[in-house]
Amino acid sequence: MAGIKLSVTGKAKASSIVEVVISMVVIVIVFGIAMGIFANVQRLSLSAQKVHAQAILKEELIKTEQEPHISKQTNNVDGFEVSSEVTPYQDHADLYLIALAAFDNNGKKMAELREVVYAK
Amino acid sequence: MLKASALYIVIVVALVIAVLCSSLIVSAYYYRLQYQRKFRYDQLQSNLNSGISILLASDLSAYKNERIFALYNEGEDSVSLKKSSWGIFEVATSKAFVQKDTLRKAFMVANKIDSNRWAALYLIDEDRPLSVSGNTMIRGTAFVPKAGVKEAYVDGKAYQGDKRLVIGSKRNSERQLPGLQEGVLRQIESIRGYKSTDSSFNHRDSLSNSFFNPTMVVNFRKKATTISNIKLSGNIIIVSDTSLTIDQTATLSNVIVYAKSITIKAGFHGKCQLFAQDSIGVQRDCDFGYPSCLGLLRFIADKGVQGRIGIGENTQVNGAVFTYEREKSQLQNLIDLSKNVKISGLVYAQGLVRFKSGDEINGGVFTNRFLYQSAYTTFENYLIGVRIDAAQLSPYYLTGSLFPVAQKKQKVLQWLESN
Repeated sequence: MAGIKLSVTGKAKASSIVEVVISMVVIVIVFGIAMGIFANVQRLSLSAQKVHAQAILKEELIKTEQEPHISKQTNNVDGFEVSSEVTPYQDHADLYLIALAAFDNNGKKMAELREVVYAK
Repeated sequence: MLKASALYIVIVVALVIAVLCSSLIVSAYYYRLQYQRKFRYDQLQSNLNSGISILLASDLSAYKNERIFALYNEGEDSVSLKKSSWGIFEVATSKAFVQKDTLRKAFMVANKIDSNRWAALYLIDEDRPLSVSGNTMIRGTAFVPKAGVKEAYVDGKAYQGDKRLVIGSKRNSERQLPGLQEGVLRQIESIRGYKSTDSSFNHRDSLSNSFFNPTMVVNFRKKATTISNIKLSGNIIIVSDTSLTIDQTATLSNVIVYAKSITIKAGFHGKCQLFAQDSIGVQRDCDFGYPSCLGLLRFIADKGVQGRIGIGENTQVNGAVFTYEREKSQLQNLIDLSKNVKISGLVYAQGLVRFKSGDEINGGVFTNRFLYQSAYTTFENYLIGVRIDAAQLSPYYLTGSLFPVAQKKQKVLQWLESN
């Protein structure tokens, strides 16, 4: 009991060994559950990387739709490998399907985006 | 005596941790929910845009009946598209949906102008020149008769404008105006036959109909009517077999009016398409916002009566003014402009155009013949104190596919509704 001054004659009631053991078990279980929940929430929640990848794809789409032409390419943008494929949509002369996907360093797909655009 | 109570303290700590954990779970759950909602919204938005692109690239006939299909033949990419004619323009609706979530947009579609066919002036060749006098200005490409453009001295006034007479290139015009598109004319003609949903406004002071709903057709039949003190907007067509008067207290937004003759009272403000068989009379100080259209259509020749669009002093029209006759008559249709009328857009007259000094056309005029009426004489093919300036036309101006100056490419003219 740091910080509490006990008189020489004063008594501090100690917890029994059973009480202490139960307390320790309870605190370990509670902490265990808490850590499990925290890990799960962190794992399942959206990573900032995914949001970033989505934003990059949106930017790429805006650039590509300005002047779409049939192409297939892969670029490295802000640490992501962005693959972009422009194909004719349903054989229509003025319609193009832009398919974009962003991959991280491990080749895991972080985001993808598809849109049909009209050649202006 | 001080109590140790380890278990008691542990339970309190465990409760605090439990509260923290549950708040963490709840916040993570809502964050995830919101993100999923946003992700779905982005996906729907992307599908909606794809639908809009498809509608802009497709003909009216392909989506006349609503079509529902999957964009990429996968789940969660369904769109519902529809396109229908709306006067000289078209209205399209695009809906994208995933389960219960739907995003939708209604928009008006029009065509880009073809710069090769667009002209500040197109006067058909009747083997006589175009004469200019007073403070007349013609800027832009001019299709004029082979006899050319000449200066003239009228009402004691000489020509005071630019010495080039036409500021822009001059080309030879044909003996007939480039034609209007028959398909669109037939669409406009068919408005008369639309099944009516009402025969009056039932004393309402405002009426609005979404473009996602079936068109509301108010047909007054043979009853001469004055539309006043009412606000009409959206997917509404007003039809009359006789004369129709629109008072300045009425507000029209994107509606179509089709009647035998239409009178617009002085001071009217609105944005609408007016089609008449015999005459349109617009009184002074009216303002037609973009996109508006005044059209006189004579599908059946009436040899005794001259079709006429009269536009009163200080009126502004943003859009198009045109006359059409299926069979050429002796008394040609007339577009009669009073003083200081300003038209931004296209004037297309299968007939005559009569100007008064101070009139301003920011766009182009296509006509068979010009008239100028002085106190004593009527001059033909004289432009006196008129300003026709193609350069003043907004670069964002779009026209209906009806006109010969329209490109095939379509763009969004205006957004009508969205959620």
